[in-house]
Amino acid sequence: MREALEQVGTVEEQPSAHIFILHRSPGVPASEVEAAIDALRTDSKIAFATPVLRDPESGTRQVLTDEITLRLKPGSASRALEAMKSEHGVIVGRHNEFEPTQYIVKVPNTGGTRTLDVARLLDERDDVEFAHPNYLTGIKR
Amino acid sequence: MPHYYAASGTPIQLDEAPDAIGVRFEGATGPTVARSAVRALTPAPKARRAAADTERRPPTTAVQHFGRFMLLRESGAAERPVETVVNALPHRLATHVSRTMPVFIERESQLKLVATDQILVSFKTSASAARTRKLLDDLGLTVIGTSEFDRSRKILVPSSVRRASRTLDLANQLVEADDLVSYAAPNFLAEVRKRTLNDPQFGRQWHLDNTGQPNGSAGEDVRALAAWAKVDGGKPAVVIAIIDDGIDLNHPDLKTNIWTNPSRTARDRHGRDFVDDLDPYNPNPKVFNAPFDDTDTNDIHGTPCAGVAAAVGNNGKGVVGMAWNCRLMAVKILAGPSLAPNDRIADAIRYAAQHADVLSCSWGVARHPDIESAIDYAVERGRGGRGSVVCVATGNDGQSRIGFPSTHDAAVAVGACNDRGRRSSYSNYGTGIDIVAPSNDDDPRRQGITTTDVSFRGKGYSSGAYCDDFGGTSSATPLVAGCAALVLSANASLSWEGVRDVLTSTAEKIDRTSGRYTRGYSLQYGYGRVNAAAAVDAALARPRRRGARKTAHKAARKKR
Repeated sequence: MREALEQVGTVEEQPSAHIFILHRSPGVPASEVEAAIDALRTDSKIAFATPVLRDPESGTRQVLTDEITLRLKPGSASRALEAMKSEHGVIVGRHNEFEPTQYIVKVPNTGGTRTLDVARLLDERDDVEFAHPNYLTGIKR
Repeated sequence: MPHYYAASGTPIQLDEAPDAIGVRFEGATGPTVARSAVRALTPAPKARRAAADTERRPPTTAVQHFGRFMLLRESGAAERPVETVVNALPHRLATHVSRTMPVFIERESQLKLVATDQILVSFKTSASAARTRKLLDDLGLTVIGTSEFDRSRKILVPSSVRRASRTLDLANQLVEADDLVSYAAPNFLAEVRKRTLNDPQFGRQWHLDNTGQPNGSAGEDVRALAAWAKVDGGKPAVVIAIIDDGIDLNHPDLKTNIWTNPSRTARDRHGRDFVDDLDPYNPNPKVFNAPFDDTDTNDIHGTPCAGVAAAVGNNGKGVVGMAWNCRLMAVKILAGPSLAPNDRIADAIRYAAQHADVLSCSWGVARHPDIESAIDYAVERGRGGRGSVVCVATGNDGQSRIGFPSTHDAAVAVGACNDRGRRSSYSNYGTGIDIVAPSNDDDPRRQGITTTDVSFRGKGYSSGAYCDDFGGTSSATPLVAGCAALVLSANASLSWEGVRDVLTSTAEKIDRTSGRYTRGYSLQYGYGRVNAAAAVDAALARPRRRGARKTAHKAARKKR
């Protein structure tokens, strides 16, 4: 798989997150990158491909993943989660070990900025304290 | 004849020193006169050599001056009382002697205390002004000053010169009025025994004790020696979490201070790794990529931070940490490349707050609600409700705005200054900065920080287990975290806000010209450079409360 991506750019590996960041080579059109990714997706070799964003304030990279950090308002747990599953198609993942009303929810078949869009929709719900993409975030040491 | 004064209801036994006397010189010229007196009473080197060459050694006089005071100590001269030495002063100096004062030796420590004509007293908040005034009138005492840290703490002097030599008795009479007085004792001129540390690289650690090491300016440091004179290297019960890319747990200068989970069944023996799901209970540095001194791709950043905060002191090895007797907990959020999931960073903060008193975060990320919520968690639930202190670097971009999460209301936002007491050019500044601490500078003439380095062969900033070029706000932050640990060693009952208040209210205003302090606050330096000694003093002076105290940090936003 890495070889296929290296045809269109350089690959930066993030082993702990099982993520490759692809830097498109100069002169390679975006459509060629899309085609390479689509081929890998068709072969079920990748779970998702999302853009790398940049936070304008800190200048750090924000890699969108398929995860959203969701904090529910107290007392609205199971019914709210069920509603989110049916309305937005999200999958409830890890329950936070420190915060009793916090979860990681997954956005299936994500691509582009869909995780960000779903997070915004969840964040607007009355039963949600906050919902925000669980970015793979750049850290400045 | 035995003497005593009271501390926390316990009599502190004193013996009068037979071979010493304190002398005070009067007026504004006192310090100059004291210096002249010292010179007049100190034999010239030639005379000392001549005396040493003869069998008949004359008694020697050790003379020191402290401002308007001079302390005389005689050895081998029982037949020549020290008063005669005072009388031997040249007439032009003797006429400036305001008074002589007895010198005591505290039995337990054997430290000298000169009883000055001042008394320190702390009145109870319930004490009425009228009754307090009557007590002072009865004892012939006058208030001449009030503590800037605690309004109930006053400095008193006897109204008559005759009573000036009786401050010990007068203080003890004040203590007897226990419905009005919390404590009272003479404002001794106290001998401070500076701890001698045997760590061979301590002399290079100018950030702790700046003696003007090459190119530096003496005194531009955190006043570590004076802080250690009061609380040594802190208490082992106080834990500092280094949230970073791991700590070299077997480093010879860190190992003894690595925190061990008190729960014997816990799998997280010394901390946790929040990014390695296959090895989550091993927070050692793990990822190394050539070049091995590149911070962004190697796990080499947390170990120097740990050394700045709490490298083991007085162990005959390497360097000294600010809180060299406190414990270090390793919390790993990075593995090699500088990317990590937000939820893991946030949970690392929450985890650290469950075990640590102080959190040190030498990094910055984009703002995220989960990380904000984790800092809320730390200050609300850490330390049994008193709140963990969260120290965060302002960042190294040289920008006039500080980075997240140092912008969080509850963070202690830490910037950097150099060995000449000026802002390090890279140090982010601006609204929200709380304090600065010594570090390196972009200017290569300024010195870096000597601290621990990963001890794996060929890895790290240097080839050995120590480096001398660490820096950034990354280094300033664990230095402040170490100071916070000393503050909590002095007074564990302080809330996180209390610790931040102690650190900022005692900070030293550096670079007053360019700093442009307004009401004690500078956008360049916050409240100034951290002063460990003054902070420890202030912590010791604050009341100790029992039990947990819930803090509501949202009601205590930074007042700027």
